[in-house]
Amino acid sequence: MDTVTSIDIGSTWTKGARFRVKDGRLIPVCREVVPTTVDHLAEGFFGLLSRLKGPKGAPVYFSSSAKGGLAIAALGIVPELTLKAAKLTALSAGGRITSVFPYKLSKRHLEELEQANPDIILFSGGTDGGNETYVLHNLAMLKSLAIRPVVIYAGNEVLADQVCEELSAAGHTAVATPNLMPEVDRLAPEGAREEIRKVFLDRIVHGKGLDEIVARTGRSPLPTPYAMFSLVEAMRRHTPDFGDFLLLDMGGATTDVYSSTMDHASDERIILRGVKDPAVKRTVEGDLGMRVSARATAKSGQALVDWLLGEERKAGFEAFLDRIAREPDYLGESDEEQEFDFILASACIHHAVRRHAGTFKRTFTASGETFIQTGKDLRHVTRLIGSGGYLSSVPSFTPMDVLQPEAERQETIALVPQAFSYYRDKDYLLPLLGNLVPDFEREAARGALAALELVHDGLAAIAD
Amino acid sequence: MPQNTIVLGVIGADCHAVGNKILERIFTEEGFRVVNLGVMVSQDEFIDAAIETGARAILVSSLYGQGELDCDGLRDRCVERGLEDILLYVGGNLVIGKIDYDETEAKFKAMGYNRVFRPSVDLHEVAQLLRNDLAA
Repeated sequence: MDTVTSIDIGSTWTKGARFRVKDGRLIPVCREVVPTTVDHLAEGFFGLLSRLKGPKGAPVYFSSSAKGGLAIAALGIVPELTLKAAKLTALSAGGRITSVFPYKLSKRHLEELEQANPDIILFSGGTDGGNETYVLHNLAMLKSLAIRPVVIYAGNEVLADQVCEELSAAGHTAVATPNLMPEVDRLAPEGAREEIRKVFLDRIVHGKGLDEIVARTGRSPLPTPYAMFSLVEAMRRHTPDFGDFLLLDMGGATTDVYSSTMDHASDERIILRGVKDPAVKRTVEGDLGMRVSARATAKSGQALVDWLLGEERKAGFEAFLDRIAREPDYLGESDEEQEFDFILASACIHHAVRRHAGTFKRTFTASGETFIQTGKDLRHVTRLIGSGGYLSSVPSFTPMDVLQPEAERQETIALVPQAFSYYRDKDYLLPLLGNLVPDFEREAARGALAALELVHDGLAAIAD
Repeated sequence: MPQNTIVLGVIGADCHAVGNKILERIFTEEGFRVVNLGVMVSQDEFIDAAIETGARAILVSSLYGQGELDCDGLRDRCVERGLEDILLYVGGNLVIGKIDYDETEAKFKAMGYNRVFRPSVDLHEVAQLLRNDLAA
C-alpha cells in the first residue's frame, strides 16, 4: 500500500490530503478543504474524499475536533501534585478541562460537577501505597453523583479494585488505569491517556454521521489534539536532528502549545521544584484565540495589545473585535485589519508560550545566588513551528519579537525560547500527518519536517 | 498499605545536600520507604508530599543556622492541612552559636516537633526511635 488519505473534521472546515509513502516518508499528493457539514458530518467528509481521488480501497484515517475534545473534570489531592498531574494527562489526551477539584469533594462540588456534566471524570489522588483517606472520601461522594460520565481511576493503585467495584455497584461506569503519579514528582500519564482515547471513540462516534464514516472507512477517529500530540512524540523519536522544538497550534477558540524538550537543571545553582514536566507536553489556553476568544485575548493580553496598538487605533480595534465576534469566519481585509490580526496573534503566542514555560525564581542563600526552577526550561529550544488557521496561512508572520525575555531585574523569570528559527506549517498538514502516526510513525515524522517552511533562520545568527 | 513512609528534606534556603543523601541511604537501609525531597524544601512541599504518599513522619533537616526561622509554624500548617497526627522530627545545626542544646531542644519541642536531634546523633538510633514512635 503506497497511498493513504487523512482527513480532519474541524468545527468549521473539513481538511484532507492524500499522501504517498515514498523513501520512508509521507509526501502530500493533493490537498482539499470543504466546509464542515455540521448536521451530518459524513456528507462533507465523503464529498472531500471523492475530491481527493484516492485509489479505490486506499486506507482513510481521520480525526475530529468534535466539541473541542472530550470534556474532562479532574480530581486530585494536592493542587501542585496529583491534581496538576491529572490536568497534564487530560490535556495530553486531547481533552478539554471543565473543572478541577483538589482534596475532598463537597456536596457543592458535586453540584458543580453535575452542572459541568463532563464526559469523563479523571479520578487521581495518592501515590502508590500512599494516601487513602481522600480517595475513599471522594469515592463515597462520587457514588451519589446524578450524572453518568465515565470515571477513569488513575490514583493510588491499592484502591483501584475497590473504586471500580463500588462505583459499578452504584451504577457508574468506572475503569482503572495505572496511577498517573506513582511516586511524588514522577508522572506516568500513558495508561490514563489511552483510556481517555478509548472513551472518545465510544462517546464521540454516535450521532452527527460520524458512525457512518466509521462504518464506511473501517476506522475510528482520533481527537485532533491527540493526533498532534502523537506527531510531536513521533518527531521527537524519529527526527532527532531537528532538536528540541515548540509547536504552536493557534485556532479561533484556543491556542495550544506542544513542547518537545527535557526538563533538566543545567547547573548546580538551579534547584528543580515540583512535578517534573514530561518531555512532550501540551497546554491549552481557552482565553487565547483569534476569533471566538478574541475578546478574551484582548483582555488577557491587554498590556501587550495596548502597547502594540497605540492610542489612535484603539477605537478601530474595538470595532474589529465586535465584527469578528459576530462573524467568526471573517478574515481581516484592509491593512489595518491585518495589523489587528497580527496584534491578536502576538498576544496569543506571547501568553500561551509564557504559561507553557517554567520559571526561575531568584533567591540568595548562604552559598550565593540560586535559582528555583518550576516547570520546563524552554530557553534552549531552537525551533518554533506555527500551525493552525492564522499561522499556517499568513506567510509574513513571525513570532520573533513577541517572546522577548522580561527585563533582568524581575525576580521571577519566564524560561521562554531565546534564539530560535521559525517554521510554518504552510499547508496545515501536521494534524493530518498526526492521524497517520499509529501506522506510519517514522514516515509521518519525516513527512512533517518536509512539510515545514523555514520563515526565519535564527540559528545562522548563533553560528556567527 | 506500607505504614512506614517518611518524607525527608532540607528546609528553607539551605543547599546542604550531602547529609541529606546520607539520611536517605540509612533510612532506606533501615527499611523505611523514603520520599526524599532534597534541598531547599518549603514547609508546604513537605506537607504536600506527606499527604500524597500517606507518610506518617516528616524528617526536617537544617544545616545553615536559620532553622529556627524556617521550622517555626510547620506543626500549625500540618494541623491546618489535616496532618494533625503526623510525627515531626528535626535535626542538624539548628541554631547559630554555642547555645545549650537543652535550650534548643525545648525551643523546637515548643514549636511542635516530636523529637529534636543534634548533628552528631547516631542515625541508627534515630531509626529505632522512629520505629517505636510509629508503633506507639
